[in-house]
Amino acid sequence: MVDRVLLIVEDEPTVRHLFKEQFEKEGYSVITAESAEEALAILKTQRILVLFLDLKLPGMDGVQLCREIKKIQPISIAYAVTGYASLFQLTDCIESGFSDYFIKPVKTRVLYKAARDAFEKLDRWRSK
Amino acid sequence: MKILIIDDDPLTVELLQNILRHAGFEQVQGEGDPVAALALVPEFNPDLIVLDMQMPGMSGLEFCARLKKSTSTMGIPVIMITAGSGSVDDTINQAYGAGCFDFITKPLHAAEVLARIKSALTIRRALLKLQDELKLRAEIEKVLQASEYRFRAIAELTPDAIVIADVHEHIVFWNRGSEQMFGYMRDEVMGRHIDFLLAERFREVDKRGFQALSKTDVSGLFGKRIEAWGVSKSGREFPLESSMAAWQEGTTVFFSATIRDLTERHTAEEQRIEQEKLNSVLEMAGAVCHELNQPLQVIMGYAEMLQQNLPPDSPQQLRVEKIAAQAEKLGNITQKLADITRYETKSYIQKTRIVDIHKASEK
Repeated sequence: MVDRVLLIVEDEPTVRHLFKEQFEKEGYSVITAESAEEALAILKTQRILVLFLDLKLPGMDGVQLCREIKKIQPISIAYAVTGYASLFQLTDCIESGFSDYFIKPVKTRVLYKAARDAFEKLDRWRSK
Repeated sequence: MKILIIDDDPLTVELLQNILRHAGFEQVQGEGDPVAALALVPEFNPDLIVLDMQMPGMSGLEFCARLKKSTSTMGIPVIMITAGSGSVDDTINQAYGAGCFDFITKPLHAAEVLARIKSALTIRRALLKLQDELKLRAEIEKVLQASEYRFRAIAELTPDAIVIADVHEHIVFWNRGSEQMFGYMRDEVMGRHIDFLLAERFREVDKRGFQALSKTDVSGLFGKRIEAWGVSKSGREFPLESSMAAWQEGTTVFFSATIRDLTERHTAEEQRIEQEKLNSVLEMAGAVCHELNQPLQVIMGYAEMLQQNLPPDSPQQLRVEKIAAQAEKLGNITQKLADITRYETKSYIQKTRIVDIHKASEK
């Protein structure tokens, strides 16, 4: 079974803390980063396969971050969570390798379901 | 000036040569045989021939008649020398009849010979000068015709309207572009005052502009551009840009206006401004959605957590539920707003229609 570890990348502290609390309550280990650069540094030392990324980040944005993550770990499952995405960004999301996207505010159960589905999928891959 | 002397008497030839050389004529050639002399004429191309009337082989009259037959030699003046015997009237008639310019009767007197030769040469010079001038004029005419042709071609082929007016602002030139732009045929406008081409409200301005111009120094107008509204025969008003020029032909001043219809440019500009306005509204709406959704996420997330933590029968459950529901309601509103901006952005990109932002905001 794949370790139940999630990476949350979100620059807004209150939203970051909320997500961490919500997922930890559900039994996941949660690592957080407030920028794409910090996230990439973490991924150099830790193997994390399920990620929730904000699209609007200072410095490198979420779309570019997803491209970088897919280079390092193509099997990983990344979700975009954003306050607003233009048509261009949505097209970019698909192209850069996001599995899905959620527009804030996202219900807790929707986030839980996304995490659950991602790990189930990874487990299926691993069992083959 | 070159002079050819033809006489079968060598003494006469020598005498004439001496007289002429003494008077300063350098190119003087003598010839005793009229047949040989006739062959020599095209090559030597003399400006004057002094010719003996009676010669063996060919008479002076026959020589003269042959000379006048050829177009290249017919213009050379001939002075005939006569022996002085016989009827003077006959000699005069015969000599002039053959095309001679003048005649001298022997015995020869230097002063008379020189006077008659100089007189003939003066006329010869004048004729040559006239010929040159005619030739030059013909060439200039050709160049002018070519230039006129080029001007007509450019003026007729350009889609711009070119209108030329005289100092009284009456139309003297109206090209095909003008016909198409204003809808008037050439015959309808020639001689008319240019006023009628501008929309009523621009006419006074235009008049003042013209009156302010110095009618003698027109250089100030050159290259001046004006934007105004024109009016066509059908009454359609349209924006136009006109490049002005003026020039003087002798004492007469002419004005030209090269006019371009700006309708398309105006429409494109209006559309561009409209699209920019729309774009900035869409951008702003997107930014508002983003900023509102961040706190909404926090409110909704914590409300849901509280609901889970509270005992199911707690009186606080209902209150927290209301917070979560209101946060969700707000989330739906921002979602609708985001949908509108995305929908409008899509139409805008696909250029399927020009979005009326007022209507868009009512949705």
